[in-house]
Amino acid sequence: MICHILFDVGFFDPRLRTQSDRAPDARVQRAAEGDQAALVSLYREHFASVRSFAERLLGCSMAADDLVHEVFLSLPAALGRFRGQCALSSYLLSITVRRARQHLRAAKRRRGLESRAAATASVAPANRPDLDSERRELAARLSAALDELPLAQRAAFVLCEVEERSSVEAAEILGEKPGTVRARVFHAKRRLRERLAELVPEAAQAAAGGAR
Amino acid sequence: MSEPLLERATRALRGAADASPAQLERALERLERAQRSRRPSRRWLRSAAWTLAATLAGAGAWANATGRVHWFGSAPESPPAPAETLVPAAARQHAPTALPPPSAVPSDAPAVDAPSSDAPSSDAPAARALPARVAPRRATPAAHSAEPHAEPAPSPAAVDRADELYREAHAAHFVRADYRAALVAWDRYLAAAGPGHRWALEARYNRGIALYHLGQVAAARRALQPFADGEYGGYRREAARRLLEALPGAE
Repeated sequence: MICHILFDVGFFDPRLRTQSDRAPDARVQRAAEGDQAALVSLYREHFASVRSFAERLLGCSMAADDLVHEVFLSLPAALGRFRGQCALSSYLLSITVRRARQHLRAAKRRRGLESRAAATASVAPANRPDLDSERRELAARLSAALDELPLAQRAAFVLCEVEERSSVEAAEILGEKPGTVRARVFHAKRRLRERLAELVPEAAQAAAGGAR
Repeated sequence: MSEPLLERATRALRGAADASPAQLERALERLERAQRSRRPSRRWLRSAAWTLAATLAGAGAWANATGRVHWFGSAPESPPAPAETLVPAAARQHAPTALPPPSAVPSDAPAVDAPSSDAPSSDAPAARALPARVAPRRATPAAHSAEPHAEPAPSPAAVDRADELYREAHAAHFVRADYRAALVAWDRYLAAAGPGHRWALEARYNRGIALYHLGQVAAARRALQPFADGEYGGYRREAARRLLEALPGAE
């Protein structure tokens, strides 16, 4: 618990602790005091990034909804501990990563149900008609492969590779050093390649053939 | 080898999770609902806590006023009865003379129709406690009559007489440790008060203890056996059992 709080305030990251110039603005302070208008404003501003990251991290839309709900529900208390040690968007994503652990199992279970439902329906979801079945299938396989990774590697991969953030930015979110994040991404990619080759053998062969 | 596959999968995952404005509104609505449902629960908890505190305060004041509970060193109102701790101590020591002198005095003996073994105790000596009990009862008959009784109350004179006998027996037993006089006094009390009096059960039990002290083992056994057998429910049952086990000649 204490570690979590210290992690929240960036205690373990000397790089973050020196950034005292990024003091929280008045809206954040109002939101921390429970001002509903300020909270809604922050919510509207940061919902998209947090929601997308949560879905990419968990690989499940419903679990991502739950995770985002939990993150924003805890926002007033979390903002009370926010000292401007990093950008607020990074701070929100760090909370999302920390709380994601409790949602991973539910996400895996729901993803299995969703994939079975999609297989029987064999049509694209109504809210994403632009996604063809192959892309959906690939995304689902990658989410399944991500299940094999530890949360730290998984979060590093999603931040750096899927969301294309820099290792410095990802390090700020994860409370790690950039070198550590890069190493985690490297190991994650290696394991994901192996796992994807097992999950999508024909696609791997086609890719190998195309590469020759 | 499979790098393009991972890249394609990564791109697919990137494109699969874009939050739509409709999702934002839905999520915002859900959040506001959750916050609304949280607020009343806090209010409810606060009001429940206040209600509980008020109930406890009221019950405490009532108990203090009616003599159920004695707070802040106020004198007990009820005639004392032998402490529950007396019997286990006696049971541990097999000699009748090994019983410790009574130091703890229960503040309220249970009624006959509802015997219980949880009579509260206080360390106030009996000699000091007894006068303090009777005076307010005579002075405030309304408070006395407010106490619940399952049986019709005897006449005030009979109650006073029975109380007086009980106090005498108690003083002989627990203050002077004169068990011979105590035995006589318990018998007198029981004869005068009858089996329905509120301290009759306790007097019977004390009578058994007095017999025990006097070395009249068979009589003590006869007096305590009904308690040990549970004829009066759980009232003094365990203590009587332990005492009977400790009596000379017991297995």
